[in-house]
Amino acid sequence: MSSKSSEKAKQSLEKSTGSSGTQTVPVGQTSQPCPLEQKHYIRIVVKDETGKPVKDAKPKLVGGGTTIDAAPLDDNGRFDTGKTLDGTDPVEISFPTLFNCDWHASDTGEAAPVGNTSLPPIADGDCVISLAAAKGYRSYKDIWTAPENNALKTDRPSPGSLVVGDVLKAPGSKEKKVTKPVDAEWTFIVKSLKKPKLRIIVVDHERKPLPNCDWTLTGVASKTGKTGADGLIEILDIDPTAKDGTLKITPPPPIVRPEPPVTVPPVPDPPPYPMAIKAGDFKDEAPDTKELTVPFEFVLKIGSLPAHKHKTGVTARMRNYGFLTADNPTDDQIKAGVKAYQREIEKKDAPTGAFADIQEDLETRHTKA
Amino acid sequence: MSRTVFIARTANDLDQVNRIVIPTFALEDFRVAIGSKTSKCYLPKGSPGPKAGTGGADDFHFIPEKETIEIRYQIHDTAGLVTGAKLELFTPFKKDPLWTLDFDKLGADWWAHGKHVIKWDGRIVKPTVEQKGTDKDGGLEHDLTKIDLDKSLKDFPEGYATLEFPPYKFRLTLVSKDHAEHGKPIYGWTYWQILIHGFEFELGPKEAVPDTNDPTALQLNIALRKKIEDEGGIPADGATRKVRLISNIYKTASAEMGTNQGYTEYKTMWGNGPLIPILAKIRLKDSNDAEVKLDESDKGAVALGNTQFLWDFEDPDEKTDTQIGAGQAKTFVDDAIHYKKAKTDEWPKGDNCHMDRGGKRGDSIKTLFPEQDGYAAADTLTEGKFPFEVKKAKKRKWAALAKGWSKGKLKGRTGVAFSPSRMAGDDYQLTVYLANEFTKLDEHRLDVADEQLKAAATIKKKTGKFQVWRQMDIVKYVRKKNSIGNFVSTNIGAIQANYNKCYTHIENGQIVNEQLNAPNYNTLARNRIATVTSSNLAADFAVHPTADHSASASAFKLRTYAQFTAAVRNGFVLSNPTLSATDIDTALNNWLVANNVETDAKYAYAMDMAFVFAALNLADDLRLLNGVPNGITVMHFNCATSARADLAQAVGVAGAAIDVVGATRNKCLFVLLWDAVDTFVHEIGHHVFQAHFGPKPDAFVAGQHDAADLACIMSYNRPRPDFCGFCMLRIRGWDSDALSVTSASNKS
Repeated sequence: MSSKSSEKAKQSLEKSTGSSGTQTVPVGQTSQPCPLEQKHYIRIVVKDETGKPVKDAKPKLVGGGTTIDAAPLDDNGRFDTGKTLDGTDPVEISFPTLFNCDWHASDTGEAAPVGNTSLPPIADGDCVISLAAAKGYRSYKDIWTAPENNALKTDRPSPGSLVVGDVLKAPGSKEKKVTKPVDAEWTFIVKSLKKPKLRIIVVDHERKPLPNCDWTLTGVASKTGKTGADGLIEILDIDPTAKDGTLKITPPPPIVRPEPPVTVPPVPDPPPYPMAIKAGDFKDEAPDTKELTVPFEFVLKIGSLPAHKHKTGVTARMRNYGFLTADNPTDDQIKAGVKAYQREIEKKDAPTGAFADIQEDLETRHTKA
Repeated sequence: MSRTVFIARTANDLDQVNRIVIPTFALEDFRVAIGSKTSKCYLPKGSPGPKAGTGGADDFHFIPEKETIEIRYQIHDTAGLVTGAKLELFTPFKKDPLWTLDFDKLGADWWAHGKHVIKWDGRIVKPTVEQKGTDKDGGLEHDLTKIDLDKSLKDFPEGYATLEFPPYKFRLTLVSKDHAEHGKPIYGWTYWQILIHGFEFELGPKEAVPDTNDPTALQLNIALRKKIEDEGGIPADGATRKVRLISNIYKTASAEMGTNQGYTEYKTMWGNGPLIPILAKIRLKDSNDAEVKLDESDKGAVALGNTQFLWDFEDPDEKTDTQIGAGQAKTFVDDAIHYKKAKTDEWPKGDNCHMDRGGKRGDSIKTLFPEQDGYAAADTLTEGKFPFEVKKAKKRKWAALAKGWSKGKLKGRTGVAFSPSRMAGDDYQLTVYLANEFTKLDEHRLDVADEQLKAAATIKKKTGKFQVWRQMDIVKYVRKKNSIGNFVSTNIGAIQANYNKCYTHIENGQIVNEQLNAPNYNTLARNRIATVTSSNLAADFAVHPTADHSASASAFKLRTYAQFTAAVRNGFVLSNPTLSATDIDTALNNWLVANNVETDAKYAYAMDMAFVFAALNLADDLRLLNGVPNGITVMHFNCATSARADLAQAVGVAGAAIDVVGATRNKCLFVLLWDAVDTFVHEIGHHVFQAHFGPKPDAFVAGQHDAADLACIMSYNRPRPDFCGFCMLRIRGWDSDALSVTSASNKS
């Protein structure tokens, strides 16, 4: 411990409210030496990066060769040995269930993740977020920010969109230990567990947001609501590993604009030729038109949106965006869909049909908030 | 409906979204176009505006077969929900489509997402095989012009859209078998037209003159058609064309004069009137409003199909002031032609001869446009069969609806067999209308009983005036000697002028205009003289036994008055040889006075009276009608006797409408004995059934003349400038039994 941190620990000790059985010594007063055998304590407080207590971390304390069972942490993320420690030897503190990059003592800096372990290849439904959660990383960034993944990130700019078969590097060690003096309180920062969210914007065939639509989500979460003015459905804190869901949407009824009153001018004499069309003279019956009254159901394949720079990422976005329908589109179908996109969205007179030509524009329109 | 979408998780510190589209499909635009001209796209209420804008016109038009247009439509269906489409063609007031083009056979390209253009030349097709679209201008192009015509639909006999049904409504409907509720809108429509540019009349070919199973009538009608053709054909609006009905119909006995036989015979000859094939050549507007003459164009006439054309007529006011002139005759005719003119339940109103007087006015049965079956269009016409189907209109009972030919010799034309009344003086203006506007199912807008039809100038064409005339022919004019001036040539204008007032043309079509050539003339003359002299002593003295009658311009060569008196005196001398010369002279004078021949003038008159019938019989003996065609033959003597001729004495018999051997109902002869137009007119008048009026001569038929007109040319009351109105109408062909001799009574 540096002198500075030692001093900080001292201050921390001095500001503490004292542990059980310990006399409180007002600041500035001289402590009264105990005439009996002196007992010692160590206290740890586990917080996340925002200062919120972390209760689920499982610290391991070893003092004087003896392991101290520190779990569970209390509601304040605190564990206090009380004056039970016989010696003054520093206590070894670790979080065996956490990767090294997921915690650090508050008096030390955060260690950058090092991708020294290869993760299993990405399967359908996987993304950095789900994989991190599945593998016990406190944050997707443990993986995502590992410099060993920088090359991959060139073509996978979003942690939520990888490509099946991608292989990521991730920090592999959970062996980190720190030693702290007794009779002091030590604060440890453990990365918070932040669940991902679902953000879906429902748009119409012109890609305009559909506001005020009733929706019901099942599977990944059970929620109901109405789309916002921007057509957004946002579900926070979803199970990061959930891969399936069903979203039912009931579009709002169409807005029927009042038709301007029809004024029938008098027929001049002689009548003009050709005479003005009188719609009422046509007696054909309008085709049956069914209103969309039952909710429309989307089957959500969560985590299955590949990176946009990959062909599968383009086709998946095209399906979401309504330019492709087949489950396993042929090249011709893809080409036709790309052309349609280029004509309608990009307003190109000479569409190429090459998916690479739309991938950036499509990503922007599909994904950008 | 369920649809799989691919959703990325969003890290808690990021904000990416997943945009998902609720799958829908829509017809975004639908119209027809050629170049920059388009029809207007209509989409159901609540739909977004048409993708290609709200422009366009409801009167978009083109000519099927002649022009190829584009059917343009745009489908939004990126989700692939559409499983078919159909194009339907509607016309007003018919619930069911005239034609449906189901895209099923054509293939999915036809309803794929995006822009589409179908090349179409108005043809009706029924596809049986798939047709892939071809890329064009960012969309797909299709081509219906490569598909065979479907001629199985009765509405489109040539396999093309026709002029019969505009305005057309094209409706395109998208079909989604499983996801119809995701379509908004699923259909759209547009209107388009086939427009007429105008008409041009022409006289139909002679083959088109209908044969009514009456060879004589057919020949009369063919001759009439030829006459109209020779005189310029169909009159332009503002002009008049005489319809001259050859009607050499004459009495066959004097007893027929003053009877209604002329009406009966004329009716027998011309019945309900002539039949004149009148055609209208149809011109359409192409997409640039330029005129396309269907009769000349190699393409486009197929657009006629079963289109109907209304043939109508008006009865213009007769101009009696110019035709007859002022006077009692005009008054009489005016009263008669105004009969029931204001009758409210008779259409069309007018002043032609009313059905009550033998005409067609007010008669909804005896239409001017008799129904015709027509026959299938052909390159060779069938003689005696009218080519076009003609049906009587439903409400406008005096009008007719005719169809046209889309191909064949008369392609691009419609027409009627125009059958005006036979009554001379009747006149008509015909109008042809395009009759493809309806007010209800199967109810033509123009098929109404309103007298004046309201129609734009473009869809109608009016002829000039057809004016019915009778025609009688002078076919032979024989002068006893060429020393007689050619009276007919000199006076034909004046003669015609008289008959013109009866709308009757006296045609000076003499095939023989000669000096009498009769080698046996003297024999014939002496035989006839003998019938006179045997009972008439004066006449006996007037004739020299060896006189050469053939050398005289008169019927008989008589002694001059001096020779006559000398012959009489010599007779007294021979029979009274003892008398003195003075006594002989006294006896002669007494005899001359007793026989009313004491002066040369009296001698001339007495001999005229004595020999006139012999002269008329002599004319009969000459058999002048042998080999002569129908018409009037005139035998012109310079008086019956040379005695009158020598004095150029007007008093005497001027002419006679005699009944001779060889005369028929259709040819007659009269003898002209004195050069006088009124006589010439009068004698023809007799032959056309006109009787004398009085008070001179004593014998007359008062019931066949205007009681108020004593100057009728059929009287001897000179001056006698014209026929009376009653005669005029009789000559025109009216039923005299339905006329009153009192003018005012004929008005109502």
